[in-house]
Amino acid sequence: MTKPKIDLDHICDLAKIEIKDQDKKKYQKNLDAILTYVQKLDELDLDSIDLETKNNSLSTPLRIDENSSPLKTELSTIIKNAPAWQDNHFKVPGIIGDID
Amino acid sequence: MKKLHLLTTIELNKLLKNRTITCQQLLHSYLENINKNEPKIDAFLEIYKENALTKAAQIDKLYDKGDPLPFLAGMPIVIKNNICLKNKKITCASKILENFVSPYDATVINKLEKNHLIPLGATNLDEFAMGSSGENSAFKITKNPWDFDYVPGGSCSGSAAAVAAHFAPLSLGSDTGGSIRQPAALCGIVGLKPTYGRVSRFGLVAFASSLDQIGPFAKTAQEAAHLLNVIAGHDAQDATSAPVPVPDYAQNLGQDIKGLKIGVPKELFETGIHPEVKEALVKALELLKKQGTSWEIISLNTIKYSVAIYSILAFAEAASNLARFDGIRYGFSAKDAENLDELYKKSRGQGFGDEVTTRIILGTFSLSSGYIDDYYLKAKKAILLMKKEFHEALKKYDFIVTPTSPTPAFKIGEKINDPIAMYLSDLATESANYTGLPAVSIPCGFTKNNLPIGMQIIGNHFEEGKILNLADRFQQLTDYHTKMPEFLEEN
Repeated sequence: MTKPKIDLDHICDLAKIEIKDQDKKKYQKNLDAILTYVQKLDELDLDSIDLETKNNSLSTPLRIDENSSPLKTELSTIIKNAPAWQDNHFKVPGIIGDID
Repeated sequence: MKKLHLLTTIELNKLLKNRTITCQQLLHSYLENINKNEPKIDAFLEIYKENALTKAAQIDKLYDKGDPLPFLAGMPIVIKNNICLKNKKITCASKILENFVSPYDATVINKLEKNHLIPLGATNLDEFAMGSSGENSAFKITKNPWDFDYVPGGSCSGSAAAVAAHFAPLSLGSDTGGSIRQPAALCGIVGLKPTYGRVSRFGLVAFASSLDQIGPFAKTAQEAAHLLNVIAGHDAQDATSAPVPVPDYAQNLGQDIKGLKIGVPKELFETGIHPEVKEALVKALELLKKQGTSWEIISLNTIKYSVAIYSILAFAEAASNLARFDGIRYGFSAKDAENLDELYKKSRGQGFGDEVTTRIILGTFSLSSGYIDDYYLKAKKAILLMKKEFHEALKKYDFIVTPTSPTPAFKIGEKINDPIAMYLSDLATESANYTGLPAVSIPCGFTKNNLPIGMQIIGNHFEEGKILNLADRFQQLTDYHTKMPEFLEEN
Protein backbone atom coordinates (compact mmCIF):
# COMPACT_ATOMS: atom_id res chain seq x y z
CA MET A 1 0.00 0.00 0.00
CA THR A 2 1.27 3.47 -0.70
CA LYS A 3 0.59 5.86 2.10
CA PRO A 4 -1.85 8.51 0.97
CA LYS A 5 -2.59 11.75 2.74
CA ILE A 6 -6.14 11.66 4.02
CA ASP A 7 -8.32 14.33 2.45
CA LEU A 8 -9.85 15.28 5.76
CA ASP A 9 -12.69 17.42 4.40
CA HIS A 10 -13.77 14.74 1.92
CA ILE A 11 -13.71 11.91 4.47
CA CYS A 12 -15.54 14.01 7.08
CA ASP A 13 -18.16 14.68 4.46
CA LEU A 14 -18.53 10.95 3.79
CA ALA A 15 -18.65 10.23 7.54
CA LYS A 16 -21.17 13.03 8.10
CA ILE A 17 -19.10 14.57 10.84
CA GLU A 18 -18.03 18.16 11.27
CA ILE A 19 -14.72 18.98 12.89
CA LYS A 20 -13.65 22.43 13.93
CA ASP A 21 -11.07 24.23 11.79
CA GLN A 22 -8.75 24.65 14.77
CA ASP A 23 -8.81 20.86 15.40
CA LYS A 24 -7.99 19.82 11.83
CA LYS A 25 -4.22 19.96 12.30
CA LYS A 26 -4.42 17.70 15.34
CA TYR A 27 -6.62 15.13 13.54
CA GLN A 28 -4.42 15.20 10.46
CA LYS A 29 -1.33 14.57 12.61
CA ASN A 30 -2.87 11.62 14.45
CA LEU A 31 -4.37 10.12 11.30
CA ASP A 32 -1.02 10.37 9.52
CA ALA A 33 0.72 8.66 12.43
CA ILE A 34 -1.79 5.79 12.40
CA LEU A 35 -1.70 5.43 8.61
CA THR A 36 2.10 5.30 8.68
CA TYR A 37 1.92 2.59 11.34
CA VAL A 38 -0.57 0.40 9.45
CA GLN A 39 1.79 0.24 6.45
CA LYS A 40 3.41 -2.53 8.52
CA LEU A 41 0.85 -4.88 7.01
CA ASP A 42 2.83 -4.74 3.75
CA GLU A 43 5.42 -6.99 5.41
CA LEU A 44 2.91 -9.87 5.34
CA ASP A 45 2.58 -12.02 2.26
CA LEU A 46 -1.16 -12.03 1.75
CA ASP A 47 -1.31 -12.77 -1.98
CA SER A 48 -2.27 -16.40 -1.49
CA ILE A 49 -5.08 -15.62 0.95
CA ASP A 50 -8.48 -15.92 -0.63
CA LEU A 51 -11.24 -14.08 1.20
CA GLU A 52 -13.84 -16.04 -0.73
CA THR A 53 -12.76 -19.42 0.69
CA LYS A 54 -15.73 -20.99 2.37
CA ASN A 55 -15.43 -21.89 6.02
CA ASN A 56 -17.43 -25.09 6.28
CA SER A 57 -17.65 -24.97 10.06
CA LEU A 58 -19.78 -21.85 9.94
CA SER A 59 -23.16 -21.23 8.47
CA THR A 60 -25.58 -18.37 8.68
CA PRO A 61 -28.13 -19.17 11.36
CA LEU A 62 -31.71 -18.60 10.36
CA ARG A 63 -34.44 -18.33 12.92
CA ILE A 64 -37.93 -19.66 12.39
CA ASP A 65 -40.01 -17.17 10.46
CA GLU A 66 -42.35 -16.36 13.27
CA ASN A 67 -43.56 -12.99 14.35
CA SER A 68 -42.09 -12.60 17.78
CA SER A 69 -41.74 -9.11 19.10
CA PRO A 70 -39.31 -9.38 21.97
CA LEU A 71 -39.08 -5.64 22.33
CA LYS A 72 -42.26 -4.37 23.84
CA THR A 73 -41.03 -0.85 23.73
CA GLU A 74 -43.54 1.72 24.74
CA LEU A 75 -43.98 4.74 22.55
CA SER A 76 -43.51 7.00 25.56
CA THR A 77 -39.87 5.81 25.92
CA ILE A 78 -39.23 6.48 22.25
CA ILE A 79 -40.69 9.95 22.57
CA LYS A 80 -38.67 10.62 25.70
CA ASN A 81 -35.48 9.88 23.81
CA ALA A 82 -36.42 11.80 20.67
CA PRO A 83 -34.70 15.21 20.34
CA ALA A 84 -37.73 16.59 18.45
CA TRP A 85 -41.14 14.94 18.16
CA GLN A 86 -44.27 16.24 16.52
CA ASP A 87 -47.58 14.60 15.52
CA ASN A 88 -46.22 11.11 16.13
CA HIS A 89 -43.16 11.71 13.97
CA PHE A 90 -39.52 12.57 14.50
CA LYS A 91 -39.08 16.17 13.51
CA VAL A 92 -36.09 17.14 11.34
CA PRO A 93 -34.98 20.32 9.59
CA GLY A 94 -35.75 20.70 5.88
CA ILE A 95 -34.14 18.10 3.69
CA ILE A 96 -33.85 20.10 0.50
CA GLY A 97 -33.30 23.50 2.07
CA ASP A 98 -34.93 26.80 1.30
CA ILE A 99 -36.47 27.13 -2.12
CA ASP A 100 -36.62 30.72 -3.27
CA MET B 1 -14.88 -10.98 61.02
CA LYS B 2 -13.43 -9.13 58.01
CA LYS B 3 -15.63 -6.42 56.53
CA LEU B 4 -18.17 -8.06 54.24
CA HIS B 5 -17.07 -6.19 51.12
CA LEU B 6 -13.62 -7.68 51.50
CA LEU B 7 -14.87 -11.29 51.25
CA THR B 8 -15.17 -13.37 48.09
CA THR B 9 -18.53 -14.41 46.67
CA ILE B 10 -17.61 -17.98 47.58
CA GLU B 11 -17.40 -16.98 51.27
CA LEU B 12 -20.40 -14.69 50.99
CA ASN B 13 -22.55 -17.41 49.47
CA LYS B 14 -22.11 -19.54 52.59
CA LEU B 15 -22.88 -16.65 54.92
CA LEU B 16 -26.00 -15.69 52.97
CA LYS B 17 -27.21 -19.26 52.75
CA ASN B 18 -26.88 -19.95 56.45
CA ARG B 19 -28.33 -16.49 57.16
CA THR B 20 -25.32 -15.32 59.18
CA ILE B 21 -25.70 -12.19 57.06
CA THR B 22 -28.46 -10.70 54.92
CA CYS B 23 -28.24 -9.34 51.38
CA GLN B 24 -29.10 -5.94 52.81
CA GLN B 25 -26.19 -6.03 55.25
CA LEU B 26 -23.90 -7.08 52.44
CA LEU B 27 -25.15 -4.30 50.20
CA HIS B 28 -24.69 -1.72 52.97
CA SER B 29 -21.11 -2.83 53.39
CA TYR B 30 -20.42 -2.16 49.70
CA LEU B 31 -22.32 1.13 49.79
CA GLU B 32 -20.30 2.28 52.79
CA ASN B 33 -17.07 1.51 50.98
CA ILE B 34 -18.33 3.29 47.85
CA ASN B 35 -19.39 6.28 49.90
CA LYS B 36 -15.98 6.59 51.45
CA ASN B 37 -13.75 5.79 48.50
CA GLU B 38 -15.56 6.45 45.23
CA PRO B 39 -14.46 10.13 45.20
CA LYS B 40 -10.86 8.88 44.97
CA ILE B 41 -11.54 6.38 42.17
CA ASP B 42 -14.42 7.76 40.05
CA ALA B 43 -15.47 4.31 38.86
CA PHE B 44 -19.19 5.05 38.56
CA LEU B 45 -21.36 7.05 36.21
CA GLU B 46 -24.44 6.23 38.27
CA ILE B 47 -25.18 4.28 41.44
CA TYR B 48 -28.52 2.48 41.60
CA LYS B 49 -28.76 2.69 45.38
CA GLU B 50 -32.55 2.66 45.81
CA ASN B 51 -33.19 -0.06 43.24
CA ALA B 52 -30.43 -2.15 44.77
CA LEU B 53 -31.80 -1.80 48.31
CA THR B 54 -35.29 -2.83 47.18
CA LYS B 55 -33.89 -5.79 45.31
CA ALA B 56 -31.74 -6.86 48.27
CA ALA B 57 -34.80 -6.86 50.53
CA GLN B 58 -36.67 -9.03 48.01
CA ILE B 59 -33.84 -11.54 47.78
CA ASP B 60 -33.56 -11.67 51.57
CA LYS B 61 -37.17 -12.83 51.64
CA LEU B 62 -36.34 -15.62 49.21
CA TYR B 63 -33.37 -16.70 51.33
CA ASP B 64 -35.53 -16.57 54.48
CA LYS B 65 -38.07 -18.88 52.86
CA GLY B 66 -35.27 -21.38 52.41
CA ASP B 67 -35.83 -21.81 48.68
CA PRO B 68 -32.79 -23.10 46.80
CA LEU B 69 -31.31 -20.06 45.08
CA PRO B 70 -28.70 -19.67 42.33
CA PHE B 71 -25.12 -19.42 43.61
CA LEU B 72 -24.72 -15.69 43.04
CA ALA B 73 -28.14 -14.70 44.41
CA GLY B 74 -27.85 -11.51 46.43
CA MET B 75 -24.44 -10.49 45.09
CA PRO B 76 -24.09 -6.89 43.93
CA ILE B 77 -22.73 -6.44 40.42
CA VAL B 78 -21.71 -3.32 38.51
CA ILE B 79 -22.16 -2.92 34.79
CA LYS B 80 -20.25 -1.15 32.07
CA ASN B 81 -22.41 1.67 30.83
CA ASN B 82 -22.64 0.37 27.27
CA ILE B 83 -24.87 -2.56 28.30
CA CYS B 84 -28.56 -1.68 28.32
CA LEU B 85 -30.65 -1.64 31.50
CA LYS B 86 -34.28 -0.73 31.06
CA ASN B 87 -35.16 2.80 32.18
CA LYS B 88 -31.55 3.61 33.05
CA LYS B 89 -29.24 6.05 31.33
CA ILE B 90 -26.91 4.26 28.91
CA THR B 91 -24.40 6.91 27.96
CA CYS B 92 -21.42 4.91 26.68
CA ALA B 93 -19.53 7.75 28.44
CA SER B 94 -20.36 9.93 25.44
CA LYS B 95 -21.97 13.33 25.23
CA ILE B 96 -23.96 12.07 22.27
CA LEU B 97 -25.85 9.66 24.57
CA GLU B 98 -25.69 11.75 27.74
CA ASN B 99 -29.45 11.68 28.24
CA PHE B 100 -30.35 8.43 26.50
CA VAL B 101 -32.60 6.14 28.55
CA SER B 102 -32.67 2.50 27.49
CA PRO B 103 -36.12 1.19 26.57
CA TYR B 104 -35.10 -2.42 27.20
CA ASP B 105 -32.78 -4.79 29.07
CA ALA B 106 -29.83 -6.53 27.45
CA THR B 107 -30.03 -10.33 27.49
CA VAL B 108 -27.21 -10.50 30.05
CA ILE B 109 -29.17 -8.18 32.34
CA ASN B 110 -32.20 -10.50 32.12
CA LYS B 111 -29.92 -13.35 33.06
CA LEU B 112 -28.54 -11.45 36.07
CA GLU B 113 -32.11 -10.76 37.10
CA LYS B 114 -33.11 -14.40 36.79
CA ASN B 115 -30.16 -15.37 38.97
CA HIS B 116 -31.04 -12.71 41.56
CA LEU B 117 -27.89 -10.65 41.25
CA ILE B 118 -28.21 -6.99 42.22
CA PRO B 119 -27.21 -4.34 39.67
CA LEU B 120 -25.53 -1.73 41.83
CA GLY B 121 -24.32 0.81 39.35
CA ALA B 122 -23.18 1.84 35.90
CA THR B 123 -19.43 2.00 35.47
CA ASN B 124 -17.30 4.44 33.54
CA LEU B 125 -15.58 3.57 30.27
CA ASP B 126 -13.66 5.04 27.39
CA GLU B 127 -16.25 6.66 25.14
CA PHE B 128 -18.03 3.91 23.17
CA ALA B 129 -15.46 1.45 24.57
CA MET B 130 -12.70 3.05 22.49
CA GLY B 131 -9.51 3.39 24.46
CA SER B 132 -6.97 1.63 26.64
CA SER B 133 -6.73 3.98 29.60
CA GLY B 134 -10.22 5.18 30.52
CA GLU B 135 -9.16 8.73 29.69
CA ASN B 136 -11.54 8.97 26.73
CA SER B 137 -14.67 9.13 28.91
CA ALA B 138 -16.56 12.36 28.27
CA PHE B 139 -17.47 12.60 31.96
CA LYS B 140 -14.63 11.63 34.28
CA ILE B 141 -11.33 9.80 34.46
CA THR B 142 -11.33 6.66 36.58
CA LYS B 143 -8.20 6.18 38.65
CA ASN B 144 -6.28 2.99 39.27
CA PRO B 145 -7.08 1.81 42.83
CA TRP B 146 -3.43 0.78 43.29
CA ASP B 147 -2.15 4.28 42.61
CA PHE B 148 -4.47 7.17 41.88
CA ASP B 149 -1.94 8.83 39.55
CA TYR B 150 -2.16 5.86 37.19
CA VAL B 151 -4.78 4.73 34.67
CA PRO B 152 -6.89 1.66 35.42
CA GLY B 153 -6.71 0.61 31.75
CA GLY B 154 -9.58 0.58 29.31
CA SER B 155 -11.98 0.58 27.94
CA CYS B 156 -13.66 -1.05 30.99
CA SER B 157 -11.96 1.44 33.31
CA GLY B 158 -14.80 1.62 35.83
CA SER B 159 -15.74 -2.06 35.83
CA ALA B 160 -12.16 -3.13 36.56
CA ALA B 161 -11.45 -0.37 39.10
CA ALA B 162 -14.74 -1.04 40.94
CA VAL B 163 -13.90 -4.69 41.52
CA ALA B 164 -10.29 -3.91 42.49
CA ALA B 165 -11.60 -1.27 44.95
CA HIS B 166 -14.12 -3.75 46.41
CA PHE B 167 -17.09 -1.59 45.37
CA ALA B 168 -18.68 -4.80 44.10
CA PRO B 169 -17.44 -8.38 43.94
CA LEU B 170 -18.32 -8.74 40.27
CA SER B 171 -18.77 -6.69 37.16
CA LEU B 172 -19.60 -7.00 33.49
CA GLY B 173 -17.65 -5.47 30.65
CA SER B 174 -17.21 -5.76 26.92
CA ASP B 175 -14.03 -6.64 25.05
CA THR B 176 -13.31 -5.67 21.44
CA GLY B 177 -9.51 -5.69 21.49
CA GLY B 178 -8.67 -6.25 25.15
CA SER B 179 -11.11 -3.96 26.96
CA ILE B 180 -11.81 -6.54 29.67
CA ARG B 181 -8.41 -8.21 29.94
CA GLN B 182 -6.09 -5.18 29.84
CA PRO B 183 -7.82 -3.23 32.66
CA ALA B 184 -8.14 -6.49 34.63
CA ALA B 185 -4.35 -6.84 34.36
CA LEU B 186 -3.68 -3.21 35.28
CA CYS B 187 -6.04 -3.42 38.28
CA GLY B 188 -4.87 -6.82 39.54
CA ILE B 189 -8.09 -8.79 39.02
CA VAL B 190 -9.49 -11.52 36.75
CA GLY B 191 -11.10 -10.56 33.43
CA LEU B 192 -12.43 -13.03 30.88
CA LYS B 193 -13.26 -12.53 27.24
CA PRO B 194 -15.35 -15.56 26.31
CA THR B 195 -15.37 -17.20 22.88
CA TYR B 196 -17.10 -15.11 20.21
CA GLY B 197 -20.70 -16.31 20.38
CA ARG B 198 -20.55 -17.66 23.95
CA VAL B 199 -22.43 -14.72 25.47
CA SER B 200 -25.29 -12.82 23.83
CA ARG B 201 -24.52 -9.24 22.83
CA PHE B 202 -28.19 -8.30 22.52
CA GLY B 203 -28.37 -4.95 24.28
CA LEU B 204 -24.66 -4.19 24.09
CA VAL B 205 -24.05 -0.95 22.21
CA ALA B 206 -22.11 -2.12 19.14
CA PHE B 207 -18.56 -0.96 18.47
CA ALA B 208 -16.98 -3.59 16.16
CA SER B 209 -19.51 -6.36 15.71
CA SER B 210 -17.11 -9.05 14.49
CA LEU B 211 -15.02 -8.61 17.63
CA ASP B 212 -17.24 -7.41 20.54
CA GLN B 213 -17.91 -9.84 23.37
CA ILE B 214 -19.37 -9.39 26.86
CA GLY B 215 -17.49 -10.96 29.75
CA PRO B 216 -17.04 -11.06 33.53
CA PHE B 217 -14.65 -9.40 35.99
CA ALA B 218 -14.01 -10.94 39.41
CA LYS B 219 -11.18 -11.34 41.84
CA THR B 220 -10.76 -15.05 41.24
CA ALA B 221 -11.14 -17.43 38.31
CA GLN B 222 -13.62 -19.39 40.41
CA GLU B 223 -15.90 -16.39 40.80
CA ALA B 224 -15.53 -15.53 37.10
CA ALA B 225 -16.61 -19.11 36.34
CA HIS B 226 -19.76 -18.64 38.43
CA LEU B 227 -20.60 -15.41 36.62
CA LEU B 228 -19.93 -17.01 33.23
CA ASN B 229 -22.42 -19.74 34.20
CA VAL B 230 -25.01 -17.00 34.57
CA ILE B 231 -24.39 -15.06 31.34
CA ALA B 232 -23.35 -17.76 28.82
CA GLY B 233 -25.67 -19.39 26.32
CA HIS B 234 -27.46 -19.11 23.03
CA ASP B 235 -29.87 -16.24 22.50
CA ALA B 236 -32.27 -16.14 19.59
CA GLN B 237 -32.03 -12.35 19.68
CA ASP B 238 -28.32 -12.39 18.82
CA ALA B 239 -27.73 -14.28 15.57
CA THR B 240 -24.02 -14.47 16.36
CA SER B 241 -24.55 -16.25 19.68
CA ALA B 242 -23.68 -19.92 19.39
CA PRO B 243 -26.05 -22.82 20.05
CA VAL B 244 -23.31 -24.65 21.96
CA PRO B 245 -24.19 -26.31 25.29
CA VAL B 246 -23.02 -24.46 28.40
CA PRO B 247 -21.13 -26.63 30.90
CA ASP B 248 -21.00 -25.81 34.62
CA TYR B 249 -17.77 -23.83 34.56
CA ALA B 250 -17.50 -23.54 38.33
CA GLN B 251 -18.22 -27.22 38.96
CA ASN B 252 -15.59 -28.28 36.45
CA LEU B 253 -12.70 -26.50 38.17
CA GLY B 254 -10.10 -28.52 40.01
CA GLN B 255 -9.08 -30.71 37.06
CA ASP B 256 -5.54 -32.01 36.88
CA ILE B 257 -3.22 -29.79 34.83
CA LYS B 258 -0.38 -32.33 34.53
CA GLY B 259 0.86 -32.80 30.99
CA LEU B 260 -0.78 -29.66 29.61
CA LYS B 261 1.33 -27.76 27.09
CA ILE B 262 1.75 -24.01 26.88
CA GLY B 263 3.09 -22.06 23.90
CA VAL B 264 4.49 -18.57 24.47
CA PRO B 265 4.78 -16.43 21.30
CA LYS B 266 8.26 -14.97 20.93
CA GLU B 267 7.08 -12.07 18.79
CA LEU B 268 5.63 -10.24 21.76
CA PHE B 269 9.02 -10.20 23.43
CA GLU B 270 10.59 -8.63 20.36
CA THR B 271 8.34 -5.59 20.61
CA GLY B 272 9.33 -4.18 23.96
CA ILE B 273 7.83 -5.85 26.99
CA HIS B 274 8.49 -4.11 30.32
CA PRO B 275 11.25 -6.09 32.11
CA GLU B 276 9.21 -6.56 35.28
CA VAL B 277 6.27 -7.90 33.25
CA LYS B 278 8.54 -10.37 31.47
CA GLU B 279 10.08 -11.47 34.76
CA ALA B 280 6.68 -12.03 36.37
CA LEU B 281 5.44 -14.03 33.39
CA VAL B 282 8.47 -16.33 33.30
CA LYS B 283 8.15 -16.86 37.05
CA ALA B 284 4.47 -17.77 36.61
CA LEU B 285 5.25 -20.19 33.79
CA GLU B 286 7.93 -21.86 35.88
CA LEU B 287 5.49 -22.23 38.76
CA LEU B 288 3.00 -23.93 36.46
CA LYS B 289 5.82 -26.13 35.17
CA LYS B 290 6.39 -27.41 38.69
CA GLN B 291 2.78 -28.60 38.60
CA GLY B 292 3.51 -30.80 35.62
CA THR B 293 2.78 -28.48 32.70
CA SER B 294 5.39 -27.61 30.11
CA TRP B 295 6.03 -24.39 28.22
CA GLU B 296 8.06 -23.39 25.25
CA ILE B 297 8.63 -20.41 23.03
CA ILE B 298 6.70 -20.59 19.77
CA SER B 299 6.22 -18.33 16.78
CA LEU B 300 2.95 -16.59 15.97
CA ASN B 301 4.22 -14.11 13.42
CA THR B 302 0.94 -12.32 12.75
CA ILE B 303 0.55 -11.25 16.38
CA LYS B 304 3.00 -8.41 15.63
CA TYR B 305 0.45 -6.94 13.23
CA SER B 306 -2.45 -6.93 15.69
CA VAL B 307 -2.53 -3.17 16.21
CA ALA B 308 -2.24 -2.43 12.47
CA ILE B 309 -5.16 -4.78 11.78
CA TYR B 310 -7.17 -3.22 14.59
CA SER B 311 -6.62 0.31 13.33
CA ILE B 312 -8.21 -0.69 10.05
CA LEU B 313 -10.80 -3.34 10.85
CA ALA B 314 -12.15 -2.23 14.22
CA PHE B 315 -12.28 1.37 13.09
CA ALA B 316 -14.10 0.47 9.86
CA GLU B 317 -16.72 -1.45 11.82
CA ALA B 318 -16.98 1.42 14.30
CA ALA B 319 -17.52 3.93 11.49
CA SER B 320 -20.34 1.75 10.22
CA ASN B 321 -21.92 1.01 13.61
CA LEU B 322 -21.76 4.59 14.83
CA ALA B 323 -23.52 5.87 11.73
CA ARG B 324 -26.75 5.31 13.66
CA PHE B 325 -26.05 8.31 15.89
CA ASP B 326 -27.64 10.90 13.68
CA GLY B 327 -29.21 13.41 16.07
CA ILE B 328 -32.72 12.44 14.98
CA ARG B 329 -34.12 9.45 16.83
CA TYR B 330 -32.24 9.69 20.10
CA GLY B 331 -29.15 11.21 21.60
CA PHE B 332 -27.63 14.66 21.27
CA SER B 333 -29.01 16.82 18.49
CA ALA B 334 -27.37 20.07 17.40
CA LYS B 335 -29.67 23.02 17.75
CA ASP B 336 -28.21 25.27 15.07
CA ALA B 337 -28.62 23.03 12.01
CA GLU B 338 -30.36 24.55 9.02
CA ASN B 339 -30.84 21.39 6.99
CA LEU B 340 -30.70 17.64 7.48
CA ASP B 341 -27.11 17.22 6.32
CA GLU B 342 -26.00 19.89 8.74
CA LEU B 343 -27.97 18.24 11.52
CA TYR B 344 -26.05 14.99 11.03
CA LYS B 345 -22.68 16.66 10.79
CA LYS B 346 -23.08 19.09 13.66
CA SER B 347 -24.73 16.58 16.02
CA ARG B 348 -21.99 14.05 15.41
CA GLY B 349 -19.22 16.64 15.43
CA GLN B 350 -20.34 18.10 18.74
CA GLY B 351 -21.47 14.82 20.28
CA PHE B 352 -18.47 12.54 19.70
CA GLY B 353 -15.14 12.99 21.50
CA ASP B 354 -11.71 13.11 19.83
CA GLU B 355 -10.84 9.41 19.85
CA VAL B 356 -14.22 8.31 18.54
CA THR B 357 -14.04 10.95 15.81
CA THR B 358 -10.54 9.83 14.85
CA ARG B 359 -11.72 6.24 14.53
CA ILE B 360 -14.80 7.15 12.53
CA ILE B 361 -12.67 9.17 10.09
CA LEU B 362 -10.04 6.47 9.68
CA GLY B 363 -12.67 3.73 9.41
CA THR B 364 -14.55 5.68 6.76
CA PHE B 365 -11.28 6.20 4.90
CA SER B 366 -10.45 2.44 4.97
CA LEU B 367 -13.83 1.64 3.47
CA SER B 368 -13.82 4.43 0.91
CA SER B 369 -13.57 3.99 -2.83
CA GLY B 370 -9.96 3.54 -3.96
CA TYR B 371 -8.67 2.45 -0.56
CA ILE B 372 -10.83 -0.50 0.50
CA ASP B 373 -8.59 -3.10 -1.22
CA ASP B 374 -5.40 -1.72 0.26
CA TYR B 375 -6.74 -1.29 3.77
CA TYR B 376 -9.95 -3.06 4.82
CA LEU B 377 -9.56 -6.15 2.63
CA LYS B 378 -5.87 -6.45 3.47
CA ALA B 379 -6.70 -6.43 7.18
CA LYS B 380 -9.35 -9.12 6.59
CA LYS B 381 -6.74 -11.26 4.83
CA ALA B 382 -4.26 -10.76 7.66
CA ILE B 383 -6.91 -12.05 10.05
CA LEU B 384 -7.37 -15.23 8.00
CA LEU B 385 -3.62 -15.78 8.16
CA MET B 386 -3.67 -15.21 11.91
CA LYS B 387 -6.54 -17.66 12.39
CA LYS B 388 -4.54 -20.31 10.55
CA GLU B 389 -1.48 -19.69 12.74
CA PHE B 390 -3.47 -19.88 15.97
CA HIS B 391 -5.34 -22.97 14.77
CA GLU B 392 -2.05 -24.74 14.08
CA ALA B 393 -0.57 -23.63 17.41
CA LEU B 394 -3.59 -24.85 19.37
CA LYS B 395 -3.29 -28.27 17.75
CA LYS B 396 0.11 -28.63 19.44
CA TYR B 397 -0.47 -26.66 22.63
CA ASP B 398 -3.36 -26.54 25.08
CA PHE B 399 -2.84 -22.84 25.77
CA ILE B 400 -1.14 -19.79 24.40
CA VAL B 401 0.13 -17.66 27.26
CA THR B 402 1.26 -14.04 26.99
CA PRO B 403 1.63 -11.01 29.19
CA THR B 404 -1.82 -9.38 29.08
CA SER B 405 -0.36 -5.91 28.68
CA PRO B 406 3.20 -5.12 27.57
CA THR B 407 3.51 -2.72 30.51
CA PRO B 408 2.00 -2.24 33.95
CA ALA B 409 -0.38 0.72 34.44
CA PHE B 410 0.97 3.99 33.08
CA LYS B 411 0.43 7.51 34.39
CA ILE B 412 -2.71 9.46 33.59
CA GLY B 413 -1.84 11.71 30.65
CA GLU B 414 1.30 9.76 29.73
CA LYS B 415 0.09 8.35 26.42
CA ILE B 416 -2.94 10.46 25.62
CA ASN B 417 -1.20 12.43 22.84
CA ASP B 418 0.49 9.45 21.24
CA PRO B 419 -2.17 7.24 19.63
CA ILE B 420 0.21 4.47 18.57
CA ALA B 421 1.78 4.15 22.03
CA MET B 422 -1.74 3.95 23.45
CA TYR B 423 -2.93 1.38 20.89
CA LEU B 424 0.11 -0.81 21.58
CA SER B 425 -1.30 -1.44 25.09
CA ASP B 426 -3.56 -3.99 23.38
CA LEU B 427 -0.89 -5.69 21.29
CA ALA B 428 -1.17 -9.01 23.15
CA THR B 429 -4.93 -9.09 23.57
CA GLU B 430 -6.36 -8.23 20.13
CA SER B 431 -5.51 -11.56 18.48
CA ALA B 432 -8.09 -13.35 20.67
CA ASN B 433 -10.77 -11.04 19.25
CA TYR B 434 -9.74 -11.64 15.62
CA THR B 435 -9.65 -15.40 16.14
CA GLY B 436 -12.73 -15.48 18.39
CA LEU B 437 -10.78 -17.47 20.99
CA PRO B 438 -11.52 -17.24 24.73
CA ALA B 439 -8.86 -15.57 26.85
CA VAL B 440 -8.54 -14.72 30.52
CA SER B 441 -6.23 -12.33 32.33
CA ILE B 442 -5.18 -13.18 35.88
CA PRO B 443 -2.85 -11.41 38.30
CA CYS B 444 0.67 -12.88 38.18
CA GLY B 445 2.78 -10.40 40.10
CA PHE B 446 3.49 -6.83 41.12
CA THR B 447 6.10 -4.30 40.07
CA LYS B 448 8.51 -2.77 42.58
CA ASN B 449 6.10 0.19 42.64
CA ASN B 450 3.29 -2.12 43.72
CA LEU B 451 1.40 -2.04 40.42
CA PRO B 452 -0.29 -5.29 39.34
CA ILE B 453 0.89 -7.42 36.42
CA GLY B 454 -1.41 -9.70 34.43
CA MET B 455 -0.92 -12.96 32.55
CA GLN B 456 -3.17 -13.86 29.61
CA ILE B 457 -4.22 -17.46 28.96
CA ILE B 458 -5.76 -18.12 25.54
CA GLY B 459 -7.51 -21.43 24.84
CA ASN B 460 -9.41 -23.10 22.04
CA HIS B 461 -12.94 -22.12 21.03
CA PHE B 462 -15.51 -22.79 23.77
CA GLU B 463 -12.80 -24.04 26.14
CA GLU B 464 -13.43 -21.35 28.75
CA GLY B 465 -13.56 -24.17 31.31
CA LYS B 466 -10.05 -25.24 30.49
CA ILE B 467 -8.47 -21.77 30.70
CA LEU B 468 -10.39 -21.01 33.90
CA ASN B 469 -9.17 -24.30 35.35
CA LEU B 470 -5.54 -23.36 34.69
CA ALA B 471 -6.19 -19.87 36.06
CA ASP B 472 -7.86 -21.29 39.17
CA ARG B 473 -4.98 -23.68 39.76
CA PHE B 474 -2.50 -20.80 39.45
CA GLN B 475 -4.49 -18.78 41.97
CA GLN B 476 -4.43 -21.65 44.44
CA LEU B 477 -0.64 -21.57 44.26
CA THR B 478 -0.28 -17.80 44.53
CA ASP B 479 -1.67 -14.95 46.60
CA TYR B 480 -1.55 -12.01 44.15
CA HIS B 481 -5.34 -11.98 43.93
CA THR B 482 -5.67 -11.64 47.71
CA LYS B 483 -3.64 -8.43 47.90
CA MET B 484 -5.53 -5.21 48.40
CA PRO B 485 -4.88 -1.62 47.37
CA GLU B 486 -3.41 0.39 50.23
CA PHE B 487 -6.41 2.66 50.81
CA LEU B 488 -8.57 -0.36 51.66
CA GLU B 489 -6.17 -1.53 54.31
CA GLU B 490 -6.28 1.90 55.92
CA ASN B 491 -10.02 1.96 56.50
